[in-house]
Amino acid sequence: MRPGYSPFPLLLPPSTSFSPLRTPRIARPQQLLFSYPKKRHRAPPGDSPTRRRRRRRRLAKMAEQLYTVASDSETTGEDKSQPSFPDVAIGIDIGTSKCSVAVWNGHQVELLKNTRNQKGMRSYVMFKDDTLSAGVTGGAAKENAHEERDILSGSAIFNMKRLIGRMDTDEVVQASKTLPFLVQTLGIGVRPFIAALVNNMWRSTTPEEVLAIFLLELKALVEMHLKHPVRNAVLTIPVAFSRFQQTRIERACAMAGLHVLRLMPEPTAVALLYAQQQQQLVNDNMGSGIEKIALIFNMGAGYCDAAVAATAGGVSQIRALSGCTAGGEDILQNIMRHVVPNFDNLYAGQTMDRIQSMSLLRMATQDAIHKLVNQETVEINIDLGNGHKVSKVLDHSEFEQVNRAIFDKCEKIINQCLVDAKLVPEDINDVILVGGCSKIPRIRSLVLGLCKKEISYKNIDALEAAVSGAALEGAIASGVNDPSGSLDLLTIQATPMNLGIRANGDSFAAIIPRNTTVPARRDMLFTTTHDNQTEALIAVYEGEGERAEDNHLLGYFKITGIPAAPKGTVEISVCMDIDATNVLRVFAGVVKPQGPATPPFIEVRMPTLDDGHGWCGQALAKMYGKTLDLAVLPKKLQP
Amino acid sequence: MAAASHLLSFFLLLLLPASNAIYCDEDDCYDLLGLKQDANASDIKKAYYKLSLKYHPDKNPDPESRKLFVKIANAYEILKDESTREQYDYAIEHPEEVFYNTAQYYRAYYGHKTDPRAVLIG
Repeated sequence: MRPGYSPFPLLLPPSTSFSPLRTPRIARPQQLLFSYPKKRHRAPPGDSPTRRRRRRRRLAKMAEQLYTVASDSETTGEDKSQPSFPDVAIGIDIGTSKCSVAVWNGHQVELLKNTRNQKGMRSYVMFKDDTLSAGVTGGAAKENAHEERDILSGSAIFNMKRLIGRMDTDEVVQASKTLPFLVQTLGIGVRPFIAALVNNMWRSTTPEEVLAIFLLELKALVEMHLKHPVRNAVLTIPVAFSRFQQTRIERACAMAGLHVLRLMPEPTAVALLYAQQQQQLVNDNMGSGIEKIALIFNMGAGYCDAAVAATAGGVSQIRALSGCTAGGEDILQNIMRHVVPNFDNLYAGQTMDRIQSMSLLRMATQDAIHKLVNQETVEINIDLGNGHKVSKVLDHSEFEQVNRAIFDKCEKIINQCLVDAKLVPEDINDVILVGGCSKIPRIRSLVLGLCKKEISYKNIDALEAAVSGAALEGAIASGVNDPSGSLDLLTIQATPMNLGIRANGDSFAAIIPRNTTVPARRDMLFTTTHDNQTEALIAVYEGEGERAEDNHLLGYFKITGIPAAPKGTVEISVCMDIDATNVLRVFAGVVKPQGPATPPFIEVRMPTLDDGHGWCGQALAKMYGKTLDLAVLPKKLQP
Repeated sequence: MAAASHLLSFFLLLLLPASNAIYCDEDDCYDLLGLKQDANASDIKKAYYKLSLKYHPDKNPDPESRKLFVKIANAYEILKDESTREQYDYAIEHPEEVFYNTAQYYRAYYGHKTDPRAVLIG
């Protein structure tokens, strides 16, 4: 997304004084620097290194000057009195349940509070008549106690992070049908129909729109606090987010007038905070300075992630990432179904009394789960209306039995992380537990047990770590230098999933395997599967499945004009490139035979798909699977 | 005719790439990290962390440094793992065993997912 570009400018209420269309012209030195050296590529062939260096210095100077001029003309008295950095990206953690925002204030990371003094603000948007209000300011509720009831009234949309960028065939969407607002599915690979109850009528919306409204309120809160416009943001996302879902987050941000500087997997943001703390220990002569390995486990309401990070000298290198969609929401649903066995019959279809009854059940169950963290047993007593009463005592063993499948998923991703990082539990120095669900005793014992540790790392706040890390990354990626050295940090990201194309019929050829260091560039050779095949389909997928269909389709394009030749003789190179901002580009073209008849390479930025990708892959395979197929050719084996 | 075929095979031999080139392309993995071949594991780590602070795109906006970082990260990937490092060292010592080295490389790079022989035939 181009900075400052908003596809929905009308969505912004007139109260926002900083229109995203009016790009602040101040200071984007990095971008200026970036745009220059391109010319250097076309340097004359006889160019000497010294001359090149000199030119580089000149260009840097030019960029510097331009930057100074631009900022001078723009900087008014207000900015001068404010020594903070107008273009420093803010950090946002959009949680399934709660959201928080943090900024680098010039010395350290500061979490912002809303007017109700909350750092963690409930993630929802309330639809009432013609007004929309998000959880940042507390929506329509005047008191905290009423907020939860209002959220569950059917008029509020929440769990956006679970629903965003998912098609109606997705099991997460299917499981969302028991929420108090309307989630309708047709099971054909299109967007689900989502609507909020307004004046006894369902009004449709989309997860992106809801998130945008929320972010708009959040942005206003930050601007009120900082007293200057905010443009750039670093957001944390679950490891399990597909690239398609990432584009939805970017779109929601653009709608809210925010430019996404980075999307950071949540545990990697925590890893950055850990790297900073370790670096400070070294500076205080309390640390050893040798490489330390941390396993970070993060479980919130919607997702669960694990990461292994190696840290030394302020650099945090992500060695392995793994995640899944399992979280507090699933635990809640399991317990609700356990407490009310005929749950699905009882709550099929959303009538007013059913919504009310379900919200009572939800609140009581949630409360019970929270209490069970510190208690041996908990009693659930609710009158669900229509003569239906629930009375149940729940203990830990029952709780663990009901949620066994979820704990198994957690175990799986941790083990996978260790295997991928080629480590054994003994190699791990610290286990960091974050996220709301990390308070659950079974989760703690499970993670610590797998890592063979007695205790978890103490210096990190389970609910504030991700957003703090995001704000740190925001400052670093905005080019802020701190004289005290507390920003001499770096996160080296890794790809959470395999990236590749469909080849050899139905299989998936991974070109960039998961956990490859980012930025990355890898290529692979392919060949034709038919004599005189002149066209080939490049269908790009992301995921862990062996078969192409088991993965997310990101996009597709055709290579045309392949020179006629017997099958298996043509060489087609497919190169994948991920830059530091995580943009994926695919380059493809014929490398052998070369000649004037060879068509030029194609560069495609992924994902290209916008909607309905659930069925697109199947349609592609059916129509072109056989005729436009490619086969994998081993790299550089034949001359 | 025979001369032509000799000539052809001569050219083919010329085109045959050195098998250690599959690891770090035309570069030497140790050179990329500024190390000698006898560096120990801790040297390799230190060199990598130092170079990444210098060349990672978050720290250096020059697009050339980005390309270099990708190479450095790739070299580190090979050298930090004892078994792939051994294979690489073997490939340097025995450049003539192109096919063995390539197969080893693929086993390390793509894991069990791709059997190089299956790829060759298929």
